Amino acid sequence: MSVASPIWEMFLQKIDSATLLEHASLIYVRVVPKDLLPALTFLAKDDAFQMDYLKYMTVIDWEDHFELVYHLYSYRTNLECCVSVEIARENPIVASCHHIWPAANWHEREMYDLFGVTFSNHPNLQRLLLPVDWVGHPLRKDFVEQDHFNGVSTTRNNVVKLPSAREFES
Amino acid sequence: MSVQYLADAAYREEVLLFFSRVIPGQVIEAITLFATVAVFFSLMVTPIAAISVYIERRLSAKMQSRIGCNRLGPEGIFQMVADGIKMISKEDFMPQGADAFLFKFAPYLVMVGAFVSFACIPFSKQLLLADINIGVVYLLALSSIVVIGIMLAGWSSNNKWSLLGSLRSAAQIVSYEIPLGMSLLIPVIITGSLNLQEINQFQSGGIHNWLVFYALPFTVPAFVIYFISALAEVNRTPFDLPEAESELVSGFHTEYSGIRWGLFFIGEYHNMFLISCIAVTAFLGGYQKSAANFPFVIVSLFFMFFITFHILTFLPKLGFSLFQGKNILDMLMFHHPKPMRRWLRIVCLILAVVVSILFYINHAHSNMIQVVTFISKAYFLVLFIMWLRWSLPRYRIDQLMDLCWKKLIPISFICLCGVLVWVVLI
Amino acid sequence: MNFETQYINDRQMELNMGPQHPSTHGVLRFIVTTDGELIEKVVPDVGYLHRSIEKIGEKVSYHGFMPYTDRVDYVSAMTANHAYARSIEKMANIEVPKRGHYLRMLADELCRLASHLIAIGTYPMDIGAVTPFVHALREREKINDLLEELCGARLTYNYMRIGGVSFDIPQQFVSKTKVFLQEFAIFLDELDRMLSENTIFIQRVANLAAITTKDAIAYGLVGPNLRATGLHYDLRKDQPYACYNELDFEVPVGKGEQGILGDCYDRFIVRVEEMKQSAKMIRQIIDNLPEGPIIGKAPKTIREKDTSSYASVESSRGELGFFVVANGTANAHRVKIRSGSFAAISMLEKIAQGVFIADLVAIIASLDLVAPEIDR
Repeated sequence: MSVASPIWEMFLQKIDSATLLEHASLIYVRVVPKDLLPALTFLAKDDAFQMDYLKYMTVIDWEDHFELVYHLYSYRTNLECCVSVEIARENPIVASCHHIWPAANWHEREMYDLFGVTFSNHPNLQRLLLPVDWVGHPLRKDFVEQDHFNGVSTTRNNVVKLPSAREFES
Repeated sequence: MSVQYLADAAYREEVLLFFSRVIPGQVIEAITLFATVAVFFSLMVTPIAAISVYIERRLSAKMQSRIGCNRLGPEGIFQMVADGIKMISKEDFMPQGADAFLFKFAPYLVMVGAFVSFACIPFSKQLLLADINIGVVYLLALSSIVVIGIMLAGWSSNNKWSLLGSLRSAAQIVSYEIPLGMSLLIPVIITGSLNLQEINQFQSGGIHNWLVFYALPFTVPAFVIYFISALAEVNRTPFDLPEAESELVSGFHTEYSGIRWGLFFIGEYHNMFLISCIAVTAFLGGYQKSAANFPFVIVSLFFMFFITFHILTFLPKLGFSLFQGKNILDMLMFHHPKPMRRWLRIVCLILAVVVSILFYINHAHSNMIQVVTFISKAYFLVLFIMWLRWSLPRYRIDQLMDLCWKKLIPISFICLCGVLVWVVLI
Repeated sequence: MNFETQYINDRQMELNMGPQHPSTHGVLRFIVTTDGELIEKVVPDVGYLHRSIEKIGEKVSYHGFMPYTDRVDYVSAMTANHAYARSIEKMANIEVPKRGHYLRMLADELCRLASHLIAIGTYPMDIGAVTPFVHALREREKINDLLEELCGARLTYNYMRIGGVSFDIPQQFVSKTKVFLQEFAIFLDELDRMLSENTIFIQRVANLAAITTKDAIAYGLVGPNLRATGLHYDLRKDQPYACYNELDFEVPVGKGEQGILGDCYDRFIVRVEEMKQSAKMIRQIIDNLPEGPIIGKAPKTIREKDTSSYASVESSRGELGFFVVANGTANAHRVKIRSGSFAAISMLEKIAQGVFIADLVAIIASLDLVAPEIDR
């Protein structure tokens, strides 16, 4: 399915502000934040798309903004696309889509945990992978680890000093 | 030599006349009785439990295509000694918040249920510790003491998982006592006596007299039901949910360590041997002489001779290798070469056949032959129980209860009524 | 006097199936609220194995990230290698020669066998039958020996490179694999006879935690778990990669033979059948191995700009995918790993309602969870 097929034309008519890109044979649908939930609902429910499978959700941290990516797939129509939306870095709040795909529940929790993106209307927005009392969101580019966690130091003197510095140690 | 020598008053007077000047007579009686019991258990019952542990490890390894414990001693027979020393030397601790007295007391209750039951089982015509007239009732009563012990163990551990395990076990044991009792009633009805010795005497004279074949359509299911219920009584797979390893780490004995756990562990093997002994006594002819004893006796003698020869063959090798400078440890861990195994096996087999024919001919005169017959038959059932443990998955608690109440109890009722009719009419 | 009344819930018991647990599925913790033996609520607590592999992907180069992908799913590590390599090759347009594809398929299927052996082995062990576990591990040892000859490692292989594979098959590898396949067929037959028709096993496992296809798709369930619900979908057939379209194999789908469609028994049977199909595939691969180079031309340092790609393979637990975003430097900008166990464990709260504690262990084992995939 390429970008120029009639199905995507119909999508662009429905959601005006979307733009379509294609990287490495994967279609990216970039929408504005206010169109996110309508676009996702449309892709999930419309007969031509029927994207019932949310593969994953991820957040990409560009230095000045976040980009939220939803990768969707349809078993029936074999369509595949990534819906991406740019959101602000300070106080990012997005509407949750767990009522469309229950799989989003845990993915949104993971995004909250690792990036700090808050999802409104989420039934249980708590940290998933990190301990509940962790401070900070690690996968952000500007994350600095706290010095102590529950009394244990998080740094350790480098006991082994290799004779030659290699590139993957930087 | 009969045990009654030690209990005979005249003999005792002769031997212990010296002490009677110092210690009063009743105390001597008590001491000799205690000594009798101790000797009986240490010579007869406990080695079997100890060997069972070793055999379970080797047998399970054989079934899983691996070797099993073979490091300590030739083919690993000293493993139990090492395990015993380890258990005794472990730190004795109790979980925080555990009820101290109950925690310490519970293993003894479980052990008592197993050990004391051996008192009324006839190993031969004379080798019977206590000729109790209500032997069957005595056995059923003691299994209830085990329930109390298990519940105390689970409750006093201050651990929710142990509590779950012990409650499951209590429900299971109490439920399965019903089909157990009913299927044990069948030999009682046929022989008309609760005395185990008399039940044994009834089955003398050959395999056709065995109680399991008495009223064929009813006693064979009765034996099977007895066996299944007894397996459930001793918490053995497929009914080992109370000590299910993958859910509750060890069930009701999770918090026990060292010799306290060792008592539970040995108690389980004693229980296994006990239920096999009861099965053999009540259904399979006990120590009586019959042609069917041949295979059991051959197997146990073969086994015994094989192990003995195997150990003995290490001694000359020991001598040779000392001269040739080989490491003893290397030599002990070496798995013997094939040609030696073959002739060893043939020799042992021939010897076993010869000895079992001799046994059959001389049965009536010797206690030892009767004991060997009895133990070999009972041990065969023990091996069968071990086989079941390593092949079958376990039942869930509600399926277990379902099996007992909805399937075993009706069938045992039918068997009971059938045997009643059979005894009256035939 | 003002007394505060506090409602103490004495009907429910809160149990903790802690991170250390005899069920060998990795370090997982479940907080279970029960009413006696019946479970009312299960809350999985994951994160004990979180190593932030995704953050490491931003610090090392594209080539240097390959060993880390092994650790994502160390039970079947080659599939993770394969997925990452495919993703980078898609992004940088790198061609893989045919022999490289065949060797990748060989490694994948051997790892699928190894992983399913663990799943099939630990599942009866959690239910009570200990013997199949030992036999399954014996077969897995043989596979480990084969893979050790192939690439030098037994668990974390680091065998695939961007553009192909790193080593060619050694001498006598083909004959050893054929010997292994013969013994493996005997083992599978024994396992079938011992477990698949065992009354106790079926009683424990059938009609338990049935998942409908609609629920499975909605929660993102993939792999054998999804196929057990009846949906015929396999990435190797429906979106074929790496010369899978040249192999002849079937995709086993659950049929609800002993109970409801999509229950634990179906998940078990689907895995057993998949092992049979994998053995068939391995035989075809080693019989038809083409000649040629094993690795294509890939630049020493990959620098891509303004592009991203996603590629997935059918791992033993379903779709294992890598989403890589490039930003013009020698390292990736973001690596996101999508795994099948993550979706499976998120379904657990829903399907483990109203079952016994003993059943909970069976359900967790039937979903074939491995903790490193969930936590990354």
